[in-house]
Amino acid sequence: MDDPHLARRAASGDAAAFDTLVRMHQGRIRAFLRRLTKADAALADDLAQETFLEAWRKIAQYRGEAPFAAWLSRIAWSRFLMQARRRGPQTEELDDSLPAPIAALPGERLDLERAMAKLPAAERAALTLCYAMEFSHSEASEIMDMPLGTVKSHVSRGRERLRALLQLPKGEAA
Amino acid sequence: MTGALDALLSAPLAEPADNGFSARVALTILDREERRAGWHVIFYAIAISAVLAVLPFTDFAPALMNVLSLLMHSQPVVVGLGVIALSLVGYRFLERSSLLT
Repeated sequence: MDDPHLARRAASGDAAAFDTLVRMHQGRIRAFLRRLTKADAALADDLAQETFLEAWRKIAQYRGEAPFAAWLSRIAWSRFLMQARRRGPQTEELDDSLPAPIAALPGERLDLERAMAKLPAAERAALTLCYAMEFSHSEASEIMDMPLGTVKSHVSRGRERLRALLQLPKGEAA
Repeated sequence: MTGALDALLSAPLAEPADNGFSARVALTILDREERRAGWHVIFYAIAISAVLAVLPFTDFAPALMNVLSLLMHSQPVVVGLGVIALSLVGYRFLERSSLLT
């Protein structure tokens, strides 16, 4: 059964259909939030739970025009922004240390996660959505509720910063 | 090198194992729905009580009390209500157990 069908059933009060959606999408949403929270697994899981609870409350608003994963990612991003505002600017401080699960990644991936953690949240989100999660720029702009041009700028600036942080030669890039 | 950076960026995110996450979400939803249903019952009970309080029941209030008294002293009715209550508790338990498996 596909996402829109399950979402329609969930909107009519079928909790089992919503449970199926949660099981199908939890991995991606939690991974996205872990990237946003710089691998703070506990915080990411709290935000993921809030994301799915909000999705349950608003499931009737999902019209099936965008992929369900994009609709969920939009809620996850807004939840992340809300907690970042609550916590204040210290969440965006640069931090070289990463939690153990991330530290166990192979060399290149570890370097990438360390570098990612140094990017502003919007660049981290834009790069993650457009590359690892394979959303189009247009979908990413819907998810982040930003103009398309702003998302493209975040992607471009994020790539430049990453290239510098990972010490990749500029000449061979682009 | 663009290829290397793109390959790194495009690598799928490491998705954590479920480890009971979905079940916790389902249980939280169930709790909230039950709480919401409880508030609905309280709301309707207050609304019905308010309506009953202003209606002129002087003529058949004694008859109503008599019927209620008969029902509460009837063994089959009390046993029936007990069975319904136990069934609801059992259903709730099974529903939660199935979410955790």
